[in-house]
Amino acid sequence: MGLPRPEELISDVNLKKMPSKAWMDTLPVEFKPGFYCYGAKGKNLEYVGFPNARDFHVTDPDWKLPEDWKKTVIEGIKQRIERFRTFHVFMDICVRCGACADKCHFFIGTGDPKNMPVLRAELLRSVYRKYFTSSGKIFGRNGGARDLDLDVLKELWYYFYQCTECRRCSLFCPYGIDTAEITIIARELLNLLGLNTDWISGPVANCYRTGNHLGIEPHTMKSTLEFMCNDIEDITGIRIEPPINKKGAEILFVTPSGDLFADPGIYNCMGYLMLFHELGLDYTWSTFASEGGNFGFFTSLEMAKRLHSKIYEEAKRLGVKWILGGECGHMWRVWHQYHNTWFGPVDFLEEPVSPITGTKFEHAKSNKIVHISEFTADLIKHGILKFDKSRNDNLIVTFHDSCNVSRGMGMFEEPRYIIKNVCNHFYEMPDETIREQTFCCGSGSGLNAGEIMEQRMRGGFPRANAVRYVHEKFGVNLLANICAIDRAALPPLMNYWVPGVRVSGVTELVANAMIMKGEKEREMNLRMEPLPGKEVE
Amino acid sequence: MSINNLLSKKRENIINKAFDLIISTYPEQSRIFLKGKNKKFTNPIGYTTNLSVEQIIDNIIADADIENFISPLENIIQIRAVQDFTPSQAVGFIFLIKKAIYSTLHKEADSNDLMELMSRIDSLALVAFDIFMKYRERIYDIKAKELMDRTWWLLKKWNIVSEIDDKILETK
Ligand code: SF4
Ligand code: SF4
Repeated sequence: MGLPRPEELISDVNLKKMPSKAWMDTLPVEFKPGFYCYGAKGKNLEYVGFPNARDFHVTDPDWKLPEDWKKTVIEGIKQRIERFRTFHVFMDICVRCGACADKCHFFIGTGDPKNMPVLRAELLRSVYRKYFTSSGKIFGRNGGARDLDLDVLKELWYYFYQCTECRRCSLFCPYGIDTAEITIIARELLNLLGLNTDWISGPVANCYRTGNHLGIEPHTMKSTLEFMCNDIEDITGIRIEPPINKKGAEILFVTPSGDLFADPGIYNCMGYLMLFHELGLDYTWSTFASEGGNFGFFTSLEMAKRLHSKIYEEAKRLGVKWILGGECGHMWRVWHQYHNTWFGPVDFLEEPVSPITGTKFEHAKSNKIVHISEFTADLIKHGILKFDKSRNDNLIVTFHDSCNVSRGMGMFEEPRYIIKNVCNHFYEMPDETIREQTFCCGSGSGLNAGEIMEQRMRGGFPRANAVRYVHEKFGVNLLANICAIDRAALPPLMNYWVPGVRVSGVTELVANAMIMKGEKEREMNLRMEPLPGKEVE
Repeated sequence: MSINNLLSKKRENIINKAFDLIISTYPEQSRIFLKGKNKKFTNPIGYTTNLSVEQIIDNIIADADIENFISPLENIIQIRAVQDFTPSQAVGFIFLIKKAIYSTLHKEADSNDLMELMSRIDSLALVAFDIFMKYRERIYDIKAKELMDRTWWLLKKWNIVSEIDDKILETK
C-alpha cells in the first residue's frame, strides 16, 4: 500500500461514524483536553451533603459510582416525571421535526450532531423510553430506546455539560419543548451520583459557607468596596462610604460576586457605588447575601433553593422593604421564574417603589426584586441623572443580550435605552443574533471553567462572529452586557475571535458619563485611563 | 490554454468541490447544515469556509503573493483550531483544495504546469501550520490572562503583588 495520500489522512477520518440512524453506536465518548470540565472534588460535594462525595476524574475509566447507581438514576427519572409535568411532556411529545436542530450555538460552532438540541434531548429520552414506555420496553432499539450503561452515562455527562441552558432552541420548537429544562433535570440526575464539575461544585460549597462563589469573607468584602471607593475618590474627588449590613435600610442590594473582584466587573461595581451615592439612596450591601449568582441552579433545584433563600433571609433580618439586583443573568431567571414555585410570594417585603421617582415596579409585585437596568432606565426616563456623554466618546458600543434576562425574561429595551442615553455611538448586531434570538456567550450555566477554553471558544463563535461583523463595519470596540458571566466569559471570547473589542457592564458606562454633584473635573474613566480629549501628549 | 485560464474557467467547479471536501471532514449528520453557505450569522462555519476557499482560489488564479493568502487561511484555521481535529486535520484542508484542483484540471491541463501549481500550493500547508500554532498559542495566552483578570485586581489592592508605577519610570 505504501504511504497514504495526505487527503486520505484528513478527509472523512474525523467522522465519528455517525450514519443517521446509528447515533447510538458512537460510544464511548472520547474525553479530549479542552472539551470537558474537571470532575468535582469530594470535599465540596460533602460540604453541602451531595451524594457520593469523592474526588472524581473524568478520564479515569472508573467513576467510583455506588453499586446501585443504575437504580438511582431510573428511580430519579421516575420521581421527576411525577413531579415535573413539563419534563414528562418533553420526554414524550417531540416529533423530531428538526426545527431546533441547527439553533444551538454548540452545534453551530462544533458541527457535532449530538449538540443538536433534538439529539441532546434524545440521549436522555432513549433511556426514558427503555424504562418507562411500552414501545421502548417492547421494541427496544427499534423503538428508540437503549439500556443505561456506563458508556451511556458518560455520554449524558459529556453532552449535558455542553448545554448552557440558554433556551435558544426552545424558541423555535413548535411544541415549546425547552431543552434547557431537560438539561436541568439531566444534571440533577447526574448529581445524584456525585457527577458534578469542579467549577460548579466549588462555588456552590463556597456560596453555602461564606455567601459567595469565591469564598470572599465579610472583612475582605468590606475592604474591597473601600478599595473601590479610593479609586472613585481619585477619579471624581468624591468620598463614598458604602453602607454594609445596615439594618432598616430601605433597599438590599445584591450583585454577583464577580463584580467584587474580577476585571471588568469591578468597574461595574464602582458604577453601582457611584450611582447610589449620587441618588442618596437608602440601601445596604450585605456580607451574608453577597452573591446574586446561583451555581446551585446548575446542580439541583433543591440546592438552588438553599442558596437562594439566604437573600430573603437577609432581607428579613435587615428589615429592608425590597431588593435591588445588580447586573446578572441567571440570578434573574432564578428570581423570577423559580422563586414563587419554591417559596410562594414573599409576604414580608413591600411592593418595590423607586424612592427617587415614585415608580411602582408592578411586575415585581410578588418577588419584590427589581433589576438595576429597570431601576436606572426609570431614573433616566424621569430626567433624574445628568450626563456628559462625551466621556464615552471613545467607545463604539454594541449590546449583547444575555440569554437569561433577554430570552428568559423579555428584558430587551431597558439596557439599550440606558446605553443610548449615556453613549453617543451605539450599533446593533444583526437581528438574528440579538434579542430573543440572541446567541449565548458559550460559557453560561457553570461552563465558564478555564479548562474548557476550546469548548467555550467554539460555543461562543456565533456570538463572536456577529460582533466581528459590527467591529469591521462600524468600528465597534466595546461589547456591553448586563450579566456577570458575560463579563467573565466575553473578554476571552473577544481576545480569540475579535481582538480589539473590550467588554463592560452597562452601569460602568452610566457612572462614567454621570455628572455627580460636587465632583472635580474628571480626567480618567473608571478604569483609570484618560478620558477622550484628556490624553497626555 | 494556460493553467490560470483553465483555473479561471473552472473556478466555480473547483470552489464547490473544495468546499464540499472540507465540509466532509465534519460528521455526516451535520454536513447538510454546514453546507448552507449563505447564512452568514446562523452558519458561520459554512459561510466562512466557503468565502475563504473562494478567496484562496481567486488568489491562486491571480498569481497573488503569499501575504494575500494569510487572511483567508486564518479565517478557516481559527475555527478548526478549537474543533475536534488533530493538528494535521485542522490544517490539512489545503490538500483537499489541491485535490479539488487536480481532479478538475488533470485531463485538460499540461501535466508539467499542473505539477508546478500543485507544488506551489504545498507552501500554503506550511503557512497553515504556522497559523495553527498562532491560534493554539492564543488559547494558552487567553487561559493565563483569564486567571489574571479573575484575581489581579484583588491581589494588587491587597498589596500582594505590585506593579512598576509609571511615575517612577518618568522620574528616572
Ligand atoms: S438550551 Fe441552548 S445550549 Fe442547550 S441545547 Fe438549547 S440551544 Fe443548545
Ligand atoms: S423543534 Fe421541538 S419537536 Fe421539533 S425536534 Fe426539536 S424538540 Fe422535537
